[in-house]
Amino acid sequence: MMIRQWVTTNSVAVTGSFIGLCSLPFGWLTLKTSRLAAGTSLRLWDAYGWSVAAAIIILWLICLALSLAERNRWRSIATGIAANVVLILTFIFAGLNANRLAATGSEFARVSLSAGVWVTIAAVYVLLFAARQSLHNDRVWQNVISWIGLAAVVTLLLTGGLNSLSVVQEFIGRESRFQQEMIKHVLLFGGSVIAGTIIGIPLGIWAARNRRAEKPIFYFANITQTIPSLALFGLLIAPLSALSFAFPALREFGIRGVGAAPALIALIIYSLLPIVRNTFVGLRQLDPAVIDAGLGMGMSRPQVFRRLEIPLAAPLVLEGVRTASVQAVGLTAVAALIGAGGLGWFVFQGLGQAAPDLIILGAIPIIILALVVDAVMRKIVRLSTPKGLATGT
Amino acid sequence: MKRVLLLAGIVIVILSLILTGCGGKGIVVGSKIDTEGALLSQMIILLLADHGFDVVDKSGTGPTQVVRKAIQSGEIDIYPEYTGNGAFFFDETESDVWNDAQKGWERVKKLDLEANNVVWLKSAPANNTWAIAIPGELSEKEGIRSLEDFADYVNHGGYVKLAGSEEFVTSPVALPAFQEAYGFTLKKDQLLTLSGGNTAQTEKAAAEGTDGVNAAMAYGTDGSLAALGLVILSDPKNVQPVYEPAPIIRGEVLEKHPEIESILNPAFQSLDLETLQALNAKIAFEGQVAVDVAREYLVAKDFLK
Amino acid sequence: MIKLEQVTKKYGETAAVNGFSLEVNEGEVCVLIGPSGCGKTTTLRMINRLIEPTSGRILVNGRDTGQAKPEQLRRSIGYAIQSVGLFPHLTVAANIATVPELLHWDKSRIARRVEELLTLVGLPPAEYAAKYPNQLSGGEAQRIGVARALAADPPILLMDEPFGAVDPLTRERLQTQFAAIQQELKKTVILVTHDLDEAIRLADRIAIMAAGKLVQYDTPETILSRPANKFVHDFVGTDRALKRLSRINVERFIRPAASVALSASAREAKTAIGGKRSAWVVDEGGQLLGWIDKASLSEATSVRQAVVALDTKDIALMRCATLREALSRMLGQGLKSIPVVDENSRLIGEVTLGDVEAATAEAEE
Repeated sequence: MMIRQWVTTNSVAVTGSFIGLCSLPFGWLTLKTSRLAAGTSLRLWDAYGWSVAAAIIILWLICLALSLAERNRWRSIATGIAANVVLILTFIFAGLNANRLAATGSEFARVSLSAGVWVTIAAVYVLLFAARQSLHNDRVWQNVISWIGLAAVVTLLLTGGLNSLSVVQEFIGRESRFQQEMIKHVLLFGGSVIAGTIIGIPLGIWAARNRRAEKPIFYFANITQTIPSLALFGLLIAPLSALSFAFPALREFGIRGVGAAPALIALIIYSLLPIVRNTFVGLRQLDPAVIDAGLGMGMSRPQVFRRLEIPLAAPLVLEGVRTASVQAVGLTAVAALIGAGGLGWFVFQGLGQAAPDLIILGAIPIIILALVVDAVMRKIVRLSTPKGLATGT
Repeated sequence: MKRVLLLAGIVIVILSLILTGCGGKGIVVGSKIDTEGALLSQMIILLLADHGFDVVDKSGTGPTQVVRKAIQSGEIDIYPEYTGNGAFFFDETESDVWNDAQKGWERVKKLDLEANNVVWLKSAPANNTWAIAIPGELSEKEGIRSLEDFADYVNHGGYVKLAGSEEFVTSPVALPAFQEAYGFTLKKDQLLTLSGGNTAQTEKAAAEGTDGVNAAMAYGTDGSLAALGLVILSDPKNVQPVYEPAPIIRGEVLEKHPEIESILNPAFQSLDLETLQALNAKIAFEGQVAVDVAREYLVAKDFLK
Repeated sequence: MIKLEQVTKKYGETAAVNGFSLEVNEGEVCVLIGPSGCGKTTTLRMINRLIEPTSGRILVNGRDTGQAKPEQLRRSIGYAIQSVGLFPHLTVAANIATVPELLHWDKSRIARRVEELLTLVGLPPAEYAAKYPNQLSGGEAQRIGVARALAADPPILLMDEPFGAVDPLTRERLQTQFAAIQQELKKTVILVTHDLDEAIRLADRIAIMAAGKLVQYDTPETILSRPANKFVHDFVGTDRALKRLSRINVERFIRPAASVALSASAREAKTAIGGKRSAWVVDEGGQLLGWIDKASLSEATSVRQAVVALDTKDIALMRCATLREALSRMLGQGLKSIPVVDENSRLIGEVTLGDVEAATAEAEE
């Protein structure tokens, strides 16, 4: 096999295996005497015991060996399965050993996941990415290796297998608040992206059609993007407060200085740039010959818009919405600081109490939410791409 | 274009409506983002709910400025605030009325009622004021129990590194006030300044000796002090203003339901310094959830039916 | 059929088209040609109102185009442009069906028409109907563009350098095909080009434009033999005689050619050649294989021995070829006569250099 070929197809898998082996020198579980204490870090073999540690090490070595060899279907499947097994072992034994350590420790002892586990997750992700790529023709196996590990961990979580981990401990007792803030988070980023789309697409169309409008529109969109999120949230408080005091009726509609209103407005402003810019480019990059032909054949301007411009610009516009959505999921985290709620609430609670696991309780769902939104939007973009424009994958 | 902007405005209004639950359904209880705030707000929620009110839990609303704006604009109806903060809200930091618990409470009650129609109910007898805490071993070894001892220690060249927030280090009523009253000065390399005002972090730093820190900014009722092995240095000269927590409520809401005062009063009066420290410790140190700790306490003291 | 009356288009102070008047009869191909910036494309686009004239009228079948709704007008006029502008997100069939759909034809009628048109432009429907524009070659795309323009069977066709974006070989093929289609359909065509050879090949009448004005409007023969002024004279170039030959078909000049069978003997061949110097060699089916020189027969015993094989494609002409091609091959191969074959490569006759000279002389008169 040629060197260049080898490098491009195998290098990702080798990297993943290598990262997996790098997880070993780190601590895997941290045992703290209390929620606030620093805690002692336990290495893989101390945390999980030698037999499990050996199993994990062997699995990574197998992955490395398979990745170095010439790529073929069965080797890809094997690495995929091995990675999933590592993931499942990592979590099952994290849960079991957390149970063990918590039982023997003091009453308020906490066991949390440490760097080794995070590095393992990263390694598994990279390895599965590589395996998926090479299995792109084999839908069945591709789906199996993508989801089986994740499904197992989720099942473990739901059946209480991970209950002794401090993140889960922080969750217990806060479930209803978690639900509440999750819903608020979704409403905030979802609502702002929808509003941003409703406002942004016409602005993009306007900028694309009208040379004079182009400059000010992009000026505004570009500048607002550079304002740090917290600053923008803060800046909106004063005018909205003044507004709500001048027109008390607005307060009945929930528009006050703090709370959801400034967060929503700021989030909408942030989602404007990707959407406006992509709409603009989507329309401008259309071959003018196509529009000329359409008009010349007798399509009215609205018909040209509906039949030509929309289907041809749609993929790019939706890509802009995708960018805005993923961005919004992250930015919404800060909204908790101005009273709007959302998953960021847990992050700030954790910061306020110096309890890192509370921070993680907020941060991880935000990350997962962003990944889900990204995947869903990619699918939508793919579906909206007309066949004649598909460029493969 | 105008149509688009109008549409946008409508969309925002609708979304805000949904998000704020159409506002006005029940009493909205807020708090700052700290352990004690969580505890007190949960107490308020449980007490009000127990007496038949519809309550909305918006604890952890935001930092002080955000919560103040929230109550002024009606985003929340009630939240626990500290009497001493009246000095900052109404720009009276020079006055020494704040060093007296009763006088301070009366002053802020008067000012907030006039300015914002916000009513201060009776405060709990616990002074959650700024203090300096040091590790127990250091206290034992050098015999430092009060800020006077601390000043001596520092002036005799004892090693000290104090972790505090930006506000604590610069505010004239905080560290500078201590330094002036007790006659010591901490140089730049004896200070570790954090930009956020977080005693949990400073106490953790002092307890673990991170970065050579062996003294921490603390609040009087902090729950983790005992757990982290820190002791608060006493303030015999009463330099600090008194910060007693009290439920403050929008005037309109109290007018509609004047019984709220009698519902909350007894519970708050039972909270002294040691009690609050213990309850805070359960949340911060043991990791119990604020609502459970609040409920356990209120039931034990028969405040809940 | 199409009448332009004093049509002017001004951009600010400059007139891109200035007082342009023209009349095109039904079934005619009128080619607008001129140097860059002469206003030919602007004129074309004023006919279907993609550009609105500043003053003047355009009448189609007696009716003023300015009165009708532009969309309605355009649906009755076919439009094909250089960059084709095929809709990339639609199949070839859907592209072609555009105007019929705008006119609300029913589905089956549209489907039949699409098949008809694909066959007309020489692209098998079974293979091409479901393809996407990004799967087509340049020549194929251009042909689909023409098919699309013809879809609703409009009486008028406007074409702006429709064969410009392909290589010369493909362009020639497309032009030939277009000429054949036009023979059959007899549309009224206005075609803009900068290629004089194309104009001469395809036009019934050529309108030469310069600086927005009409300079000469005549048949190609007239323009070539009697240019109206120095501009036209220079524009047309000095090889007018050659250009004229591309208007003359070889059909008129085919004369019987001496031929022998491959299987014949030397003696039979000598008899067949007679007084000439050479003859063409054919197989039993009459298909052209090569030629044979009388001189080489004296040494040889059979035709097979002395025959010089020919690549029929390179040498032989088809019936529809022009005298210009005949001359080109004669010069290229160093021959004084070129064989003419039918679709099956069977020898029909030949055309000689003498015939070319005679035709040139004829045109001079």
